[in-house]
Amino acid sequence: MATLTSQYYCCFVITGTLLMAHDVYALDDVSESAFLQDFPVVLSASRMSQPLAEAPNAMTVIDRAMIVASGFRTIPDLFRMVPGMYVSAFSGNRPIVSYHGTTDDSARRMQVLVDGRSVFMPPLGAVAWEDLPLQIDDIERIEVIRGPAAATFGGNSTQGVINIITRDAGAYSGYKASATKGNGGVADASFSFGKRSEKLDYRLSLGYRHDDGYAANQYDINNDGYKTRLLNLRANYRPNDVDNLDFQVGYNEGTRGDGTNNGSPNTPHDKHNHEYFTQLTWLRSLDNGNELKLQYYHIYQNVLNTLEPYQPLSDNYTNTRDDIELQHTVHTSLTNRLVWGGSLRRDWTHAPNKFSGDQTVMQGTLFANDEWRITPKWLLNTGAMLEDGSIGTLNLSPRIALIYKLTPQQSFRIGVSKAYRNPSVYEERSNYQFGPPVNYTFYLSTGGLRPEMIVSREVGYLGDFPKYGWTIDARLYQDTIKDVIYETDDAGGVPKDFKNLFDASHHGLELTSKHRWGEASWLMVNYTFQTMHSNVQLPYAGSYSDTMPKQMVSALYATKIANNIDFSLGYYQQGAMAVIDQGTKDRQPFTRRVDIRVAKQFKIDNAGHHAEVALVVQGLSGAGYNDYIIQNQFNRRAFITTSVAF
Amino acid sequence: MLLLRPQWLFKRLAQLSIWLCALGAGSAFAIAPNLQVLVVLSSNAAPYQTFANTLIQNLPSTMRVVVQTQSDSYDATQKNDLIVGVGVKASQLIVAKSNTPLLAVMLPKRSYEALLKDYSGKEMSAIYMDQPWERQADLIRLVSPNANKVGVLYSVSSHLDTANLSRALSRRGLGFYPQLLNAGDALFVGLDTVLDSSDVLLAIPDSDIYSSNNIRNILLTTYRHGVPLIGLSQAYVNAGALCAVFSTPEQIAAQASTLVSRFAQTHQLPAPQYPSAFSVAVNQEVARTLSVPMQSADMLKMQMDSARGER
Repeated sequence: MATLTSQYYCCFVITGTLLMAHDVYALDDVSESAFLQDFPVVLSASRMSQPLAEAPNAMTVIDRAMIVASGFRTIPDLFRMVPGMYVSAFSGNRPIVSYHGTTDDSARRMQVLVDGRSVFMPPLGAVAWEDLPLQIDDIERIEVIRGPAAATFGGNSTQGVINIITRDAGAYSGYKASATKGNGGVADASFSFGKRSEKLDYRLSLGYRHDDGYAANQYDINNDGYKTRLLNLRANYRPNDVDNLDFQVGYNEGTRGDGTNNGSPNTPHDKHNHEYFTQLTWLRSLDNGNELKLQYYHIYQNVLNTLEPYQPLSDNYTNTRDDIELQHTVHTSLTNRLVWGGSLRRDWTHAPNKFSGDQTVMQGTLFANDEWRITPKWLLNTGAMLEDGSIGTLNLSPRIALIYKLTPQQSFRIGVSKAYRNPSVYEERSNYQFGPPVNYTFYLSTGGLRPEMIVSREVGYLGDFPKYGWTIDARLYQDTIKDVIYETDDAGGVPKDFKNLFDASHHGLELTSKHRWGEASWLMVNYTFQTMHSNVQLPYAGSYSDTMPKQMVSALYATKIANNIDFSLGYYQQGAMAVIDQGTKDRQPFTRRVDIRVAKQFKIDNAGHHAEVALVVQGLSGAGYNDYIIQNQFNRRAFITTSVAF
Repeated sequence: MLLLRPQWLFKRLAQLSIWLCALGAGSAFAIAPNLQVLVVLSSNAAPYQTFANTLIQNLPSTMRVVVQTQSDSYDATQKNDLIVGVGVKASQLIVAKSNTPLLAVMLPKRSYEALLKDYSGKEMSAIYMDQPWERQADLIRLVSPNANKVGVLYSVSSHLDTANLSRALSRRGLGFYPQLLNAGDALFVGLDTVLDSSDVLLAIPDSDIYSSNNIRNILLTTYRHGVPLIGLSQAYVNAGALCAVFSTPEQIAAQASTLVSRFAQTHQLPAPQYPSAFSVAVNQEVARTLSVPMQSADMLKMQMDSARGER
């Protein structure tokens, strides 16, 4: 009996100790460590979006809510939501995005960046939108700077900057998959995987995108479909509390339909495009919110454009870009912040049909931008960039903007900036020719071009009225452009050349209004009025002033119509215009288009697993319209996307 | 001299002896400056060391103060008049091993209450690490005058005192949106839910949520939603929280020295209390980015002091 008792006693003691131990553990759950722990610096000046009311330029932010509500499948379409922006397409796989610029397929006066990587590429000086190794779902937000911003974004930012910020490496964890099917050959699929941990986050996306392009109008075949396969990996590693290494790699590959059967030797065939990039960004947080950023990237593009059986008709090219940039953000006082740095870039092009030899262009920049809070009401933003390119001369692009905050919610901005655009390597050195059976030289540059110069003046007003859920952004501008580089007429069998052909002036008004109701309903309306003047008589379009629509309207309304059902409606309207490099038959009449999206979500569990079915109809009315040229007829497109996150 | 009558002298001497006896209660002849104080730190990390150094500086040099940097080596057989336990770990060990009066400092209110429950007969008091909800609510009201709803994400292990927090917020016209994260719930789904319905997010001491593992993605998510995070410490603000109200180890040490000196006189511990002195930190960069009009930390502190004065 005695033994038994002591056994019981032992059991009791052990159990008691275990219970005690558990109790101590429970207490440890709430220890003072929560108040004492150190954290890595997450905020960084370069990673944060700049508040609209403090930006030295007018800026439109396209966020995830807008991207989703718009129902757009491709990135260029998103810019329909930006006042003053012209979105069209040379063909179904060659979109055009242009701001106050020439409406051809080279966005020559606008810088386009993806996470700080310039994707405005040689040889033509254009953005190969369909070749970007980036899915629309991996975009966090897009900041569109309306107006010259060379002082902060470098060369080519003479009319504006598109700054695409992709989702952080740790933006999601788990798996996501989606499939889209619709008419017009729409067939997309994507698969993503993300993982977060203390020191390392990463995400991987695989995507496939396909459609048949525009419907042929009066032509038998409009071969402008595409098949795009892409991969994108982003990783973020934090070895300690102050250093942050961001690594990205992306690959895009696919066929792009090209050619027509209108009698041109460029008969229907598929081009094969490849693009990849690697990018490494090292960010070090210094004391007092200061920061040092070092970034390197490499881009490779290759286009195989060969017409069988005429081997000589191949128009292949390969581009590479290497760029390194150092940027230092320093708070020189409580009221002054300075961002300065420099960059070096090497562009190389091998395009035997376009140039007489391989082209290498080196470019170096030095830049500084200062933000001075003179008083809580006045903010002065000054900046300049010195650019040395091996084409063109040494250019200094300065900018000054003064912001007055009438109240914390209302501000006025007045700004003047001067910016240069160096001629592209193609404008300066093209020799675009084909041997027999074509035996023709299309472009032959005489060179010696001066950089284009723009002086932009603007006044802006930003009002935020939280009581009414309303914000308004207004901008009045006047731009004078000198020495616009444009192609000459090809009359008389003489190859086209590039010349500093004319001067121009642009005036306009841009308005954005956003209204919110409750927690899930909002309406955004953009209105653009613009006029353009020049004495030039253009070879095709005739008067320069007709080459952009005078008025444009875009609107997006989103709401929740029931539990887990989202509804959105987009409206896009564009005034009549003459495309700059096309003739009278391609004149674009007044067009409008209505898109709708209806989506229902299904919650699977509380761990974030969910599914969604979304229907998008683009061009709801069914009345087709033409984009850019007469054979690009956009007909109603409807597609369903099913997605699941698990 | 004639005034020094024997009756008067006797009366005064009797008073003095009663006084001395009262002071000497417990240990014979111990007078104020000679109090034997042991300070036990939960760890020798910087904040604990700072507390100990500041405490010693603030106490009279005649007081015998011994600092033990490792709570594990605490020896209960040594005689002390008062033990100051710095942090949860040290306070737990002391209260489990010794009957000496304990002043527990730099521990959350909830940890102290758990100690009190487990060792109800012991003589102890505390200066908490956390700030009173009222003070937090004052700060939120000041930095977000237009805010309607304060979101709080918490897990079961944080034992959040929702009733008092809700009361403190509603007194300042602020709604309360608590979101409980059960085991198996995805943190970022819960975070999205709370951010969708809140104007500010208030961080609470919850290591399941606000770990150094998660803080980066939590902050990035709050930026994405445009909802500022109100942190718990300077480290939160440095990392990217909008602001925080907190008490530094120096401030708590100054308060502790007052309590220790009073103990030397009275041999009584006062009621457990929140830190009386506090600091406010503000991240102006975050304020600008989130378009939150922000005053300086000093201005906010002044207004919070005057708000407290009015109560």
